[in-house]
Order: sequence, then structure tokens, then C-alpha cells
Amino acid sequence: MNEYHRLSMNRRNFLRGAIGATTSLCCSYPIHAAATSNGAAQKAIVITFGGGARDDETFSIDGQQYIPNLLNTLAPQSCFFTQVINRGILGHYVATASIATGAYETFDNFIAQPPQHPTIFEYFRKDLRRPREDAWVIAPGNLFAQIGSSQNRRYGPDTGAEVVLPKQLLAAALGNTNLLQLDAFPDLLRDNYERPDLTPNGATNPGQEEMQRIIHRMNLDPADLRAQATILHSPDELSVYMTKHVMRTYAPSLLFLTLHDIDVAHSGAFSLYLEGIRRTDRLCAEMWEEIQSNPEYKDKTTLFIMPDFGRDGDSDPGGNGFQHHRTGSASARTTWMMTLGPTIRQKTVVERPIESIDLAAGISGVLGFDGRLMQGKRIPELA
Amino acid sequence: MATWLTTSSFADYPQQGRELAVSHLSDLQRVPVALLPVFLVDLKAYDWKFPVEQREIAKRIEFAGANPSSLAGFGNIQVPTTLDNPTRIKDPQRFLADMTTYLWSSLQMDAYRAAANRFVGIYSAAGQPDQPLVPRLVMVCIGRDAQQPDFSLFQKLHKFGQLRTNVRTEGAAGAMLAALHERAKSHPAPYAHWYVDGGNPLSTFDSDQVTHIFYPELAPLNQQILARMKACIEAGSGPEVLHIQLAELNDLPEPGQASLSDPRLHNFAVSLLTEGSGTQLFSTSFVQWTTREVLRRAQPTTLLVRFAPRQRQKSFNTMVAAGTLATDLDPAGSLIDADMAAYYAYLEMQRLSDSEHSTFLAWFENHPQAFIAGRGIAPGSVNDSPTTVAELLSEVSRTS
Repeated sequence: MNEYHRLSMNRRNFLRGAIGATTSLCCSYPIHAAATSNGAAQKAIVITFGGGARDDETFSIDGQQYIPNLLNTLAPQSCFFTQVINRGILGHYVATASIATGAYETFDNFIAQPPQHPTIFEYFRKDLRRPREDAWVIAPGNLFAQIGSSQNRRYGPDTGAEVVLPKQLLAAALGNTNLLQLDAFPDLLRDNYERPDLTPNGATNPGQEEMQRIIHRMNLDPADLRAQATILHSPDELSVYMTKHVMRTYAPSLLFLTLHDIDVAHSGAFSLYLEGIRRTDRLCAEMWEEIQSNPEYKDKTTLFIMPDFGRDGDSDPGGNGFQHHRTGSASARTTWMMTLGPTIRQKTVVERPIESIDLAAGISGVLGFDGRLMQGKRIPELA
Repeated sequence: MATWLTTSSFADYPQQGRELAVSHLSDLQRVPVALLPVFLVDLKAYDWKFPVEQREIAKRIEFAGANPSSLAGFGNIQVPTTLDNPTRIKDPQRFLADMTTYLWSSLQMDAYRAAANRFVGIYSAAGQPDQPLVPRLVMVCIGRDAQQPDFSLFQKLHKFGQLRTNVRTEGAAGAMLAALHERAKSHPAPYAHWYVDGGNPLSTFDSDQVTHIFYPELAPLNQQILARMKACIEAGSGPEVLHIQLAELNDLPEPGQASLSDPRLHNFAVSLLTEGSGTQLFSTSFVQWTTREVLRRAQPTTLLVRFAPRQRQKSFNTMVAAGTLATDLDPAGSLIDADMAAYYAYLEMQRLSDSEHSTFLAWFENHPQAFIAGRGIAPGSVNDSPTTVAELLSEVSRTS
């Protein structure tokens, strides 16, 4: 048994006991038709449980205490994939871009740039002729500013998603041009200080004009936003607030929410890392509640929750445990995926390994577009 | 292989490192280019390495040269001419960073990792690592100023040793310090006995024969580092510029503190604050990383580590401004941090030579809970009988 499989076994055995799940080596029948009663257009929401969470603090026996919502509320309604391997670069932006394109991107993780391969947003919008407001990305910082569309000439910005950078948007809404002026909202500036929100030479900073355009597009009231900002406790809470706002305003069919609070682990403070996991767990449940309470989403939305990758293992001498994701060990590469929705067979645990880039192919199946340049494989368990 | 290496390649290297490189030139020429920057980083910093590290570096180069088959795993790794290039020798840190970036972007990191693990495995099996003067003793004090938490401490450690629930708190810290002093005096050796503290040291500390690093004493150095970080952020200079600017700190005049007048120790302290992540802002991260680096690099015979409360998490700017001198502290969070760090200290100790004879003691400061592991201690056990730290150390030392 290799290390990837060992991690997978631990998750599977744990979930079996916790939710009474059955095991599916591969579902042998399509599970869509049974649940989709009204034939309404399907929607898909992706939440990256990020950035970077290990088994030890999530689905291991020791980790269960930190994810009560995933475990007790969401897992029993889900199809859970125990072994999701990320074989690409373990940097948050490039890994998230790979998830969004279904292909391993290989660009410099610390330079904001569009992915090489077409994104799910472009496939979706071009194939299905969907308007711009039907695909949105809510991302944690400047690096992600260009994740909405690729460099592929057949696609590109005209077919891409609207990208919301909550902190930058907040600054713009308040009339500031610089995040440093947001000190009145200290809880919202808990960036990963190891890689603070730097953008080389400012060249790729999304401009004030673009931010104002998004604010206008979102119908955001600066006064409301200011009031909210005083009661939110982290960047991810701000991201979820803006995600809900987009859902209530445009009800997009494809929504991609990148959470990032967990990456405070780079600070080396284990307590803050755990706090980030607990918060992310709670926010995932909030998102599911929002889906269930919003008629535009209820009974027609598939939710995918997946960490972008793990973190280094405690026993890996080349790393420093939970703090980083630098070694490329099995602990850092192996993670899990939870899927929920009307077409998903509940209480199912899928043991066979899939890759993180397969998620995009799974979405293409749910929404019905052709991810023709994807490297990821279709996920039969999602039909 | 780096056949293009010549004696002049190392002209810019400090003296001892240069001499070692020149005397082992043929060995280095056999090293695959993908691995070469790792060797060069060690050579460039060789003059400030601890004695045990220096011996290790020389042995590793000799082994690589004499056992080319141990490096066979690197044979399939492709390296572009921009990296397989003599111009890269001058700045090995940059060389290593660029090589790492390239290996990730070319999706060869897994192959590199496998090759490196293979080399380390063969090398470790063949070598005779330095042995400690006496069996190692690592002592960790966690939770200064923290209240009793609502969770059990030392849970990750428990399977390796014994939980003690009735340890007398009076005199416990003094007993740890006394053990350090006694071992340092009876087995003196450079960098063999260490005391690391995230706050001010215990009042009875005697620096004779003990290498020490106290976080508050590094405040002036840390402020310089934080100032550079802040300037880089405000200028939007990007991580690469930040990295270069922090690396330059090793070339700054040594600070006035007597504790860092030793160039090796000064270099070590700079590396802790520039290469460690979070060490500039959180005392718990500093102590954890320092513990790891002291064990990995200096391989001490005795190590006493004491955690202090870190600053409470705030916005990045606020934490940078407060730096080492923060006053709004988070003892409860710091206890969680230190509990995990104690576990990591144990794992790191186990990676060293003679680990089967080593003793590990962790104590929740001013509370009756402790954990002890070593020869004769039943793993996974709990002992509720009254004891003292001195008795615990005495019992284990008899069986080590």
C-alpha cells in the first residue's frame, strides 16, 4: 500500500463509521436522472477548502473535531472521494488555476497571469452561450485577478468569468486605492503574511476602474459594505458575504469560491491554522444553507468542496509539518472531495483515486459543456 | 554533471568553504546539476556552519564523489542550459531557488524527490553519524502564562511515552535549568548545550558553556528585518526582491549584543529570522523553528526550550509594526502552538543519532502535567503518582 492509498483508507474507514456510508468502487448507473425532477437548468458551485489543509486536521480521527459541519451536516448528504491527488505545482494560485482549467498549469505561482488552458468559465459560457453574469469567481487576492479567463485564443476574456477580489473591492468601495488603508478593518487583512498581497511592480494590479466596474456590476452599496466589514472576522468571511451577494443578485450558474484563511498556517501558529479550518468548515455549511434557502439554487445545484492540496506531513524531514506545502510528499499532494446536490448519490464513499484536475471534467458533466482541452478525466460517479 | 566547475568557480566563496570546494573539486564535478545548488549553498555558508555540520558537509561531498551510483536517480532529470551554467555558481541561493521553481514547473519535482530520498538513504546507511557526548536530553517548557485548557495536552506525544499528571510545579523550571548546567559543565563542547527562550530567560540561567538564544534579545535585528519587509510590501517589490534584501542582512555588521558576538551564532540568528516563516512576528513560531534548526544543524547533547506567549493575531501591518515588542499577547493560542511544537521537537530529536538512548521531557509550565519519553518509559502510559521534574530526569538518566 502506498502513502496515497494509506491516507485514502484512513478517510474511508473514518467516514464509514461516522455517516454509515456505503462504498462505491465506481457507481454503475447514472445518478442524475433519479433526483432531477423538474429538468431545471443545473448550477454548479465550487469551494476550494483552502488554502491547503491536511488530513491530520480534517478527516483523520484526530482531525474530526475541527470539521463538525462537514462531518455531521454535509458528509451524510454527500458523495465523498477519499483520494484526490494533485500532481501539479503546489502553489495556491497555480493549483487553483489548474482546478479551474482541468489541466496542470505550470506558470510562476507568484505572478498574476491568465492560465494557459481554457477555464471552465470559458467552456461554459462559449459552449452554452451564457452571458457574462452567469459565471463568477470570488478569489482571495491580486494573484487571482486573471483566473477568470485564459490565454487561449479561441476563448479569452470575452468568454470568461467576472472575478471579484473582495478586499480590493472593499477598498475601492470605500474610496481607497490601497489595501494598506484598510486598517480600520484589521480582521479582514489577515493575509498570508509570508506572501502578502504583493504584485510585482504593480503592473498587474486590477485597476480602480475595474474595481468600480465590478462594484457597479454587483450593485454593491458602499454604506452596506462598510457596515458589514465591521462585523466580519476574516477575509474568507468577506468572500462568503460577497458570494452570497452575487448569488442573490445574479444567481449565476457557475460560481467558484476560493477560500484562503487556512493558509495562515505559513505563520507557524498551529492554533491559527486550526481556527482557519474551523472557520472554513463553518463557511462551507453556510454556503450549503444559502443554496438550500435560495430558490434559484435549491434542488438544482451541485456543490463541490475540495482543498486545493494538502500540506507537508509531520514525518517528512524535508518540511516543517503543517506549516508549508513544499515537499511534494503524499501528505501535501493527497486530499479529498465532497460533492452534494440533487443528482448526487448520498452517503457514498468513492475509494478509487482521482486527480484534482478531474473536478473540472465533473463540472462539465453537470453543466453540459465540452471541456475539450482538459487533461482531467470524467468522473463516472457524477454521471 | 557539473564538469564545468573549476577552482576559480569558488573565488567569491568564503575561505574555508572555498578551500573545501577546491580540495573536493573532482567530487563536485560528478554531482548532477539538479543537485549541485544544494551542495553549493552549504559551501558558501560553510565558514559559519556549526562543527558537526561542517564535518557532515565534507563527508557528503566525498560520498557523492566516491559513489556515483547513489546519484543515479538524478540521471533522468532534465535541466535547461540556463541552469546548467557556470554563471550560477556565484549565488547558490538564487541557483537553488531557480532550480526549485524549474523542477516544479517542469513537473519533475516528484522524480527529484525520489532521487534525493534514494541518495539520502544510501548515504545514511553507509555513514557513521556523530554521536553525542552523552545520551541526548531535550526539555521543553510550554504554556507560560496560560490557563488550564479544555483539551488534553501532549496527545500527539502520548504514544511515544508517559503522561505525568501530578508533577510538583515548585522548582520544576529550576530543575530543568540545573540539568542543563550540570551537563554543560561535565561535558563541555562547542554548541553542545543550548537554551532557547521565547521570552526573557529563567532568572538562574548561567551562560557558562551554554549557547543561548532569547527572542527579546533579537529585537533590534528583527526590527531591521521587519522594516525591510514593510518597505518591500509598500513598494510592491515582490517576493524575489524581498528575498534578496533579506539575504543581504547576513552581510550587515553584527549587532551589539554580546550573545551574538559569535559570527556563527549571528549568522544562525539571521537565518532564523530571514528563512523561518512567522519567526519575525510570533515568538512561538520562532522558538519552534529555532528548536528544529538547533536539533537539525547543531545536533546538541542538551537542549532546553521554553515557549512564551506570542502576540495576538492582527492585521499584517499591525503585527509588523509591533514586531518582537508586542504587548497584546495570546497565551491560550500560544499553548496550542507550543503543544504541537513540542511534538515536532520530539520527532526532530528522533531523527538524530543515538535516538534510542535520548530522553525527552515536556512540561506545562506552572501546572502538574508533563510528558516524558526515553528508555524504560512505557509508551502510551499514564502515571498519576506525585513526582518532581528532578525525579523524572533522574529516573530516566539511570536507564539511558
